[in-house]
Amino acid sequence: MTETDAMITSHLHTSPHLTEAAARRRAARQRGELIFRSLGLAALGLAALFLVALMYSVFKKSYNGFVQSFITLEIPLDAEILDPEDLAQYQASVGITPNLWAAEITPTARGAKSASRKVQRTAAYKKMVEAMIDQNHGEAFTGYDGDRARNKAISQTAGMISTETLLTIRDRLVSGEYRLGETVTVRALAAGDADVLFKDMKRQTRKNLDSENWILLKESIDANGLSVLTSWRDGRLVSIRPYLGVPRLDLLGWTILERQPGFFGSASSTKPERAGIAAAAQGTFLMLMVVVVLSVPVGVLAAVYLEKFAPRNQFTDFMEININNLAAVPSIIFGILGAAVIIQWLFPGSRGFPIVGGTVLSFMTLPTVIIAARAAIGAVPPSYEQAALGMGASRQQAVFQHVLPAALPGIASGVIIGLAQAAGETAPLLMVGMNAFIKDVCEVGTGCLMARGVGMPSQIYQWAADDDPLFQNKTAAGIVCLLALVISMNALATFIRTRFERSN
Amino acid sequence: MNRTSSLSLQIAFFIIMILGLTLFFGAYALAIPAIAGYIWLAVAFGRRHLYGRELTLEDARSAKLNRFGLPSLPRFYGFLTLLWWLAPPILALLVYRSLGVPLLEGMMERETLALMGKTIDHDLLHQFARSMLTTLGPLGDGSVASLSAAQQEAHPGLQAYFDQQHATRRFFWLALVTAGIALWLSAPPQAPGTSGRVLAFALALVLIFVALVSGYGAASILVLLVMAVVLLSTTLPANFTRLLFMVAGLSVLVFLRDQTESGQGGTILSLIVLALSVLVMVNRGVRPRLDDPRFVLVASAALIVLLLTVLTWLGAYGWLFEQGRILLFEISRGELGLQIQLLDYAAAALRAGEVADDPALAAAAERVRDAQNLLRTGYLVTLAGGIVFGILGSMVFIRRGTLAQVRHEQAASLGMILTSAAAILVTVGIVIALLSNAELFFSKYPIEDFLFGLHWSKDAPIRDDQAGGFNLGAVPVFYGTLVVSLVALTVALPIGLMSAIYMAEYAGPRVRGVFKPILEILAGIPTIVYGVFALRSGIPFAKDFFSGLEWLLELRFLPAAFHLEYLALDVGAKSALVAGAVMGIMLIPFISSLSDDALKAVPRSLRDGSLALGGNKSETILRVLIPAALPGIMGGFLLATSRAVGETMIVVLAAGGQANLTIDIIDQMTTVTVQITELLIGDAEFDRANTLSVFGLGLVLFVSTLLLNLAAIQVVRRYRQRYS
Repeated sequence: MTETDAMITSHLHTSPHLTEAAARRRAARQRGELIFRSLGLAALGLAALFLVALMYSVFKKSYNGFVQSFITLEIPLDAEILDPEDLAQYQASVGITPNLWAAEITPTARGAKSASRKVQRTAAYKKMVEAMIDQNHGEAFTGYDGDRARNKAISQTAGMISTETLLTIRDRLVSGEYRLGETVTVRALAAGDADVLFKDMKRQTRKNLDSENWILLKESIDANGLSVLTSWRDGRLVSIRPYLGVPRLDLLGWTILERQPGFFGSASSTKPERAGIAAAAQGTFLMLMVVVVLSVPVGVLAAVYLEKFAPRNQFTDFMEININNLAAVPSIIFGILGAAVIIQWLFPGSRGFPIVGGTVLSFMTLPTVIIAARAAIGAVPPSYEQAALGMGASRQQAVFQHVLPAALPGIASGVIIGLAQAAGETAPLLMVGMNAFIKDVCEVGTGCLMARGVGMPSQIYQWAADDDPLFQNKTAAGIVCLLALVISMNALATFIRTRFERSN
Repeated sequence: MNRTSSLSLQIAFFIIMILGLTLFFGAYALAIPAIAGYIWLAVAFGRRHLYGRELTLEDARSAKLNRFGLPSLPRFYGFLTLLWWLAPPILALLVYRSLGVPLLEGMMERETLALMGKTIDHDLLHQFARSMLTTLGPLGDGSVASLSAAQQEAHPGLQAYFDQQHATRRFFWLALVTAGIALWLSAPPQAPGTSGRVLAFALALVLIFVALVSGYGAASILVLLVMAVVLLSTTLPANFTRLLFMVAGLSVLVFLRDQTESGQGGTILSLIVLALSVLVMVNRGVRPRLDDPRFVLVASAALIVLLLTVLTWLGAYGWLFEQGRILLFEISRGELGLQIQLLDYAAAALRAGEVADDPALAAAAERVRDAQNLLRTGYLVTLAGGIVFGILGSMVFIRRGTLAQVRHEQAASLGMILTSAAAILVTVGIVIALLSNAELFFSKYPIEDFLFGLHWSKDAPIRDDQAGGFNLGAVPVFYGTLVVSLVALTVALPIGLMSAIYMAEYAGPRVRGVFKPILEILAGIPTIVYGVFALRSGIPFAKDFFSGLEWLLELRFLPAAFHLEYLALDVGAKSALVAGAVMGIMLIPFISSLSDDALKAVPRSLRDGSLALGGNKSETILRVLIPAALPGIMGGFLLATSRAVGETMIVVLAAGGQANLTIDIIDQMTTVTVQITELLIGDAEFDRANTLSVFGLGLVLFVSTLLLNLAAIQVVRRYRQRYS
């Protein structure tokens, strides 16, 4: 409100000559003003509320996604469960010097096959864990109707150890690091369900049950400290493993060793406890590199040409409309472009390569970069160019040596915003097959650009579709990483713009 | 720092780099420093030509430089020399590779077949391929009907192949027309000769004759007739050069096409026509203008035709030879490939000193090894030749007095023009990708059934040959898209507009300092995050909300006798309403910033006028500012609609995949983008009607967003003009 406004208003307020009707009108108008103003504030408040709700819903779940539970166990590697001869045969077949007592064995083809099956599968190692539980914690499993129910409970308890750990035991046995017959101390990765259990599972699971149309029928802890949870879903009786027949941990005496952040070190996995963001982060990094290499030089040069050198005619008009339109074309269309032209026609077999994903993303980023760079170049005072021209520079010299450096902060911030957009884009990645299942992080220097990869957004999409509570935590954690990346990039762009624009 | 020490620093850095790279990547990394050294050498060599010549006024004018504008900077000479040193070897290597590798492959194939006791009758193979191609007919009306039943039996994929051929063929015509227009536009306005019309008329007659003789068929005649009409109706002499230019260009294209399809006669005659046109053009001083952006259009069009031709060629001949192989040798590509690989291994083993047991194999492996050695040596020779040529060229053509800067800048502006064309190429790529595949789709599934059909079930378990069995009526899909977008806009428009108004008109610097970053963060959040939010928080919330609402509306809080049973506000696992609402949140900052721009563009005088007449702020905004800014706001609204229609991840996660044509917006619905994602995710093969429908949907999506964007761009443009 300007000063004059205020004067008039105050005058009206104190004026004694106001008729009643005028006063009513004025009051109504003032009410209207107030309502309108509060509506505006309410709109802003709503926007803020949405942001808070979104952030809350993400951050609340993310902590459990970042950390990982481990259990320390002493497992006797029972020679009765896994035959030493089988192991030796398998070792011989894969070319590792077998243990001394089995040195005489020469593998026959048939025997070797069955032996390798026994050694390779995880069943034997799980049995070892079960035997350990039976031996050490047998007292926790009393009161079952018969051996079968008891064995089932023990087996489910053993299922709290991740298959990954069982495989580690196998590999160490095969390589000779462990020997059959000895007792080893293993830092075991907790299986997904158990992991959630350790992280205050009860509250979390029940919430998920409610939200997923699961009707909780019964949750009980019986006399032996066994907690049982049964639920009803889609017309079927479903029991949830960690609760069904698993003794309370304090009865087992297992210790949760530590909660270690394993999220940044591991790649995709079907086991939620092993799933991490590393491969996806690598894929996103590689794609962003491709975007920088492709869209920045092309975009900046095109912007320079269109802004400074192109003649004004229908063709440049058409170019401008084309670029503006391209900036608003749905990203999924770029995905179709990648799938049909790059993968189907030009380079068959390049499905899911980061270089393809990056190319598609740079198509998408290109108009953003061009528009931002044009704006930045156009904002440079014409005197820069004129001065250079007056000193005898050619037009290209004037533009490239004087205008472009002055426009650099604006261009840089535009490029970074474009990169942030590209980093968060999902649909085109799904179209070009960047949603692969990547078990290991690609080793640097082995052609990672040309190997199937995955990007952060598509990894999040894969996790988000899974109802497993731990996968949902991983989703939230992945989103936190993505948001950190995108928001810090945007902040950097804003910083560059404000910091350097002031100095101009 | 003096010059010597900086140089020694550079050398030290270079050596360290070489050592590091070699340690890390092995001996191949030595190529990098070698190339770097080569470039450095080229630049150093070029810089020796330091002395520029003084520019005359005429030179300066013709080069579009100012008169002072030619400093004898060494770097221009360095750059030019570098171009000379780099371009010939690279080009030579590319050409050598594209010629040599197929030759080697063919040789290995022959050896393999000989090893397997099968001799190749190349004539027979070619005959087969040609007989297959000619059944396509000049206008692309070939079909399996023209083949005998036995042949049809033997080649089950033939109809699909014909379909594909027809699709590419139509594109060829499209590209040809584009190229014609582009060539016409890009022709230089040269002064024409007086006898031009007569000559051109004669030329057209020749062309028609050529078309008749060449056997290329009715289509060529059509093009040539059109050209003749253009020619005869031309009264302006300047158009003659244009025509020549066009004819020459089109001849190149038709020539390229002819290479693939018709007999030798057409090829030779096209070449003659081409040579004639070029001759006339050169004679008259007609040259393409590289600095004209329109020329880029021509280059693009020609490139596309070239690409299509190559693709057709590869596709057609690859397929045909494959068929021929099966027919003549009873061996498939896979088997043959395996055998070839065995031969390759044998050659590699031979290289390592192991001779194969089978003497025939050993002999063949030896021949293959020799050929491979030859090919490898050839690379070195080609490289050396290219380098020598480049160095000689640079010595001959870059002399003291060369206008190095002019050349340099010409190269730079050509580069800039090409980069500007990249954006157009992207659009062209999208259009081609969508159109060509959509065409294939509509040939399998009628377009009217797709656009107006009411049933969508893409997963119908139907055999390939019963395309009609799919229910691909897309109306429910369009309807879902519309509903979700409408919900989103209903949420976003009032909130976005009001927040823009408040920020622009009411907020003090402190409020603005709080809310501006909030809006910016909302704008920067990736859509997948909104999608997960909708799925994991939005839908549970909506479930609670609507069950509470139901409880309230059905009077559940009263005794049971009063209960009503008319509502069914059950939120399932997915919901169009939730997806739309969350999409609305996503659009708030978008609408807000565009409305803000529109409001800011309203001239100060309008606002002051309203305030001076006694209007208060809200009245000024509602009755003056918003009506004045309405076009701008409308433009923003259209862009937001286009974004809502094309938004993918939110609807994929929260709106569901089931096509429901219902007014119950709480229920799940599906959108165009969801269907595209679901169909194209995973390793889709584009051969069945349901996977191909992706392109039908994509085309609809692209066209609708294109129209919305164009309308928005137009509205905003006109609005800007009004107030500036």
